[in-house]
Order: sequence, then structure tokens, then C-alpha cells
Amino acid sequence: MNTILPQLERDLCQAAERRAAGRHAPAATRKARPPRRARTPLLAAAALLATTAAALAATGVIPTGSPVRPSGPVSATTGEGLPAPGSSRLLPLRVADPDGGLPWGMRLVRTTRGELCLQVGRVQDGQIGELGIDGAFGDDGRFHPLPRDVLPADAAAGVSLNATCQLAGTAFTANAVGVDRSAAVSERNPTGPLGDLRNLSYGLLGPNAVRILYAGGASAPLAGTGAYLLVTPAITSRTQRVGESGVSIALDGAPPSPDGALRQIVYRACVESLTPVAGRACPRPKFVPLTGRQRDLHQRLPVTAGAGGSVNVHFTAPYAVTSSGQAYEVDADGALRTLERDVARGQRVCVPIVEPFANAHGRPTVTVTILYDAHTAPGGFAPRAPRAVVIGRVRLSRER
Amino acid sequence: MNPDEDEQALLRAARDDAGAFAAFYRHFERPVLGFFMRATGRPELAGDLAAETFARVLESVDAFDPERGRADQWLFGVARHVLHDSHRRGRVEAAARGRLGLPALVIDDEAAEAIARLAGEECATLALAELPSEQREAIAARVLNEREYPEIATELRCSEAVVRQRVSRGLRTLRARLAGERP
Repeated sequence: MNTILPQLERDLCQAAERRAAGRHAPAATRKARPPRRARTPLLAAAALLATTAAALAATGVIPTGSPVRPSGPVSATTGEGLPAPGSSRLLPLRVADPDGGLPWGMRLVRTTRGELCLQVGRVQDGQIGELGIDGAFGDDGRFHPLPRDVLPADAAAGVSLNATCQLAGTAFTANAVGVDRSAAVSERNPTGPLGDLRNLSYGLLGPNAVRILYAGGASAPLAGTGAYLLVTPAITSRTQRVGESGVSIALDGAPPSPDGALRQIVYRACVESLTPVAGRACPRPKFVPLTGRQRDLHQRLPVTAGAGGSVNVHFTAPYAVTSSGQAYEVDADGALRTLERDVARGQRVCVPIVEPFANAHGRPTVTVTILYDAHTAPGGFAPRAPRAVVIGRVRLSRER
Repeated sequence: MNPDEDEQALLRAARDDAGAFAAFYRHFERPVLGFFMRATGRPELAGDLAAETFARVLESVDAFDPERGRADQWLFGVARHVLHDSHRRGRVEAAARGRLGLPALVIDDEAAEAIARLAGEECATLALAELPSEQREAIAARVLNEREYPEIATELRCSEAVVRQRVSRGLRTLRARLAGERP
């Protein structure tokens, strides 16, 4: 495939050749490095700030800076929603950082759309927050508290490094590789030294989890929600690299798997382990594929023309959507979109489809299906039978 | 090129293989241009930012460490920094290009149109690769290969609801990233 900017390709290639020739040339012909003295005051100032922050952290009196701001658009009725008033709770668990300073901790936040978010950060004076070091907050050396209304924009998708949102009642284990020791994610410097990064293993295992075992053979008791947090120096491998994160959730009756530094989860009645154990292993539920959908409604779906070749598909909502555990979905021949917003029962819903034939691969028609889907029941750790109901289908044809 | 080949190309470039760096550029030109096109909405600006990004990568290719992250993650980390620096300073940085002696980039109408068309699919491809593997598999099976949920659920040995959740959450992440909420 030809490049779009062949001049740039050529220039870069020539620069690479010049770079190689320069490195292999005799030392006398190399361009002298500029003296580093000019950078020293800045570096010294930065080092002083970092040192001061570390020293203050050790005494627990870091000055407070501006609060952390939301990293994306937020709404009470879309996505994971907003933190519900009065729902933010700092957990008593504190974990030391490998370098000392302010301890790590977690807070639980319930959202207006039925999710429960677990946020990880540094703790000072009963507040969770992030530190102005390692490039975060302009290296101001201050503690930046997380306000009660701030959630990471992508926490609900399970890919944020310092937070995870799941439907309330869902047990999960999460791990993140290479989180800044500042606990800040948005200003992460991907070229920072590995020694400044941490691996986080954290999660909510539910009231039936009583103990965890982690790498090295150590163990820790669990109580209440079954929340745990492990902070270790960043260790990378071919399968775990800086910036990667993962979440294992309890669904279909199976408990979440040990993840990150976790090796074993001991429940009241069984043990979930990465290796064979003497105790009773948690049973694997028998998986039975669904044989059909429930109660398809075959609703007629009116279609109107939108701007620029888009179409609007309309339907009347037979079910209310009040949390992220339920949603209407639009499937245009495999191009699936979830309407991540609250909908009242009986509400007329207009679904714009900007490029209806994007997934048609040249076919003259595309079938648009509106579905209603509900995941697990909020409020409990028990699974619930899945269901997906077809609200209606409509076939769209290209204009001749 | 797959991730291992990307990694090898950078490692060879670090050992002064100019051809390997050219191959790396060819592989990532469109995703990087698409990333900047979506971030700025301006093809000429996207080209300028891409040029500075690849210049910075070439300058610091010795620092690439495959143990710390994939080549594409490293490249887009640099791209995000170039974008952030340019936002902060109100102009596209050209320092790396200056140090490498790269001439000013000329973007003609044809190239500008090609860049403008990239905004969608190239970004989506890259963002898909960055998703957790469970979500990536589910999206690939359902959206790219157009397979039915029950079939995918049987193959992945989980319920249809779990597949739906993985597809749904993965697509939500893709939309958030492609909308520039957190590139």
C-alpha cells in the first residue's frame, strides 16, 4: 500500500540513515552534545519538588492542591452515570507504598445508573486523591483530592488503570500494570522509569469471601464487601506490560478468577485458586447454551430519513431502563450499538444510524434489529438468567 | 505486520536499520494520521503532528523497551504527548524535526483528502487492539465476523449475556476513545 505522505517517509528514512551514519562515524566528526548545564536549574527544581513531596508524604502533611477534574463528559442518565449523592465511602483499608509516603486506599462510589465503582488512590486526611509528582499536575508536589463527583471516564468499560465500575452486586478482581505512583492516570508519562510505577491488584469479592492469598505465600483476611488492594513495584513481562489492565467478573454463577498478584480466593464454602488446592474447589456451573430468545415482540419500526444519508429508526420502549444493567441495543447487520441511557417505559425512542450500510459489505439491504437486554440483577451476588428480547426488525434498502 | 513484527522493526531501527524504520512508518502512518485527524479535524494539522511524532520516535528509538509495552502503545504514547504539547503551546512542535534536519512537510490536496478519510476506521482498528482480550475477541466475532451471539457464546463457553456484555462494554470504550475523551 502506498503511503499518503511519501515525502515524510523519504525524509524520515534519510534522517534514519544520517543518524546511523553519525553514530558510526569517528568521534571527532560527531556533533558535540550541548552542555547540560543549562538544564540543571530546572532539573534541580523538579528534583527538589519531588524530594520535598516525598519528605512531606512521609510525615503525612502534603499541601493540598486543586481537586482532580472529570476526564470526560458526564451525565446522571447515561453511561455509568454520576456518583449518587452521599454514596461515596472511603474504605478503611490502607496499603503502604513500596517507597513510603502517603498510603494507598480505595473508595466505593454508587452511581445514578446502578453501578458500583471502586477507585484507587493515595489517602490523606480521610480523602482519596492523586499526587503532583512524576509529571502529574505540573509536578507541584501537592495532594490533589478526588471530589465526590469525579469518576474516570472509562472506568465502566473495565480499562481504567485506577478504577473499575461494575453493576452493583457484581464480584470482580482487577489488576493494572504500571500505574504511576502518583495514582494519576490522565497525565501518565509512558516514558517514565519503571521504578516510579506500581502494579495494582484490587477488587470486590462479596461477603462470602473470607481470605486471599497472594504472590509469595502471604495472605490477608477479608471482611464486609470483600474489598482488597495490593500495591507492588511494577513488574512487567511478555504478557503483562505497562498500561495494561484486566477485570474478571462473576457471571453465570462462577466466581471471578484470581488476577494480578492474587493467587487464591478462599470463600466460606470453597476455594478459587490458580493452582490445585487441598480444599474444596469452587464448582464450575454447568453451562447450557440458550436455545432461543424470550418473548420477541415484533414491533413495527418506522424509519425516517436523517441528514447526510443517515436514517432514524423509531420504537416505543416496552420496558424502562433505569440502570446500566439494562439497555436497548441496535444491531445493524452486526454493527452493534448500546443505547447507554435511561428510558421511560412507553417512551418514543429515536435511534439515529449515521452510516446504516457501514457493515453491509456491498449488499443492497441491511437489517436493523432493536433489542432489549438485561444483565445481572442489581443488589446481589447471585447470577440471573440472561435474556434478550427482540423489540422489532426493519430492513433498509439502498436508494436506487 | 503484527505486534511482534512492529517490535522487531523498532529494535532493528535502534540498531541503525533505516529500512526497518521506514517499514514501521508505513505500517503506522494511517493509524497515526487517523488519530490526529480525529483529534484536530484538520488534515494539514494532522500531517504536521504525525511528522513530529515519527521524528520523536526516531530520535528516541533507543529507549524503546518491549518489556514495558507494545510498539504501538509506545508510539501512541508519544503521539498523545505531541498532541498535548501542541495544545499547551498553541502550535505544533517541530523541535524533533529540526534536530533531525527534516524539511517542512508539504501536504497537497490529494493527501489532505486521504487524511480526512482516515478519521474513522484506522483509529477504530488501533483502539480495538488496545481492548482487553475478552472484549476484543467478542467484538471481532460479533461485529467484524458477524456471527450470532449463541454461536459465539458456545465457542467462548459462556452465556449469551456475557458475550453481549463484553461486546457492549468494548464498544463503549471504543466510542469513548474515538470521541477523544481519553485518547
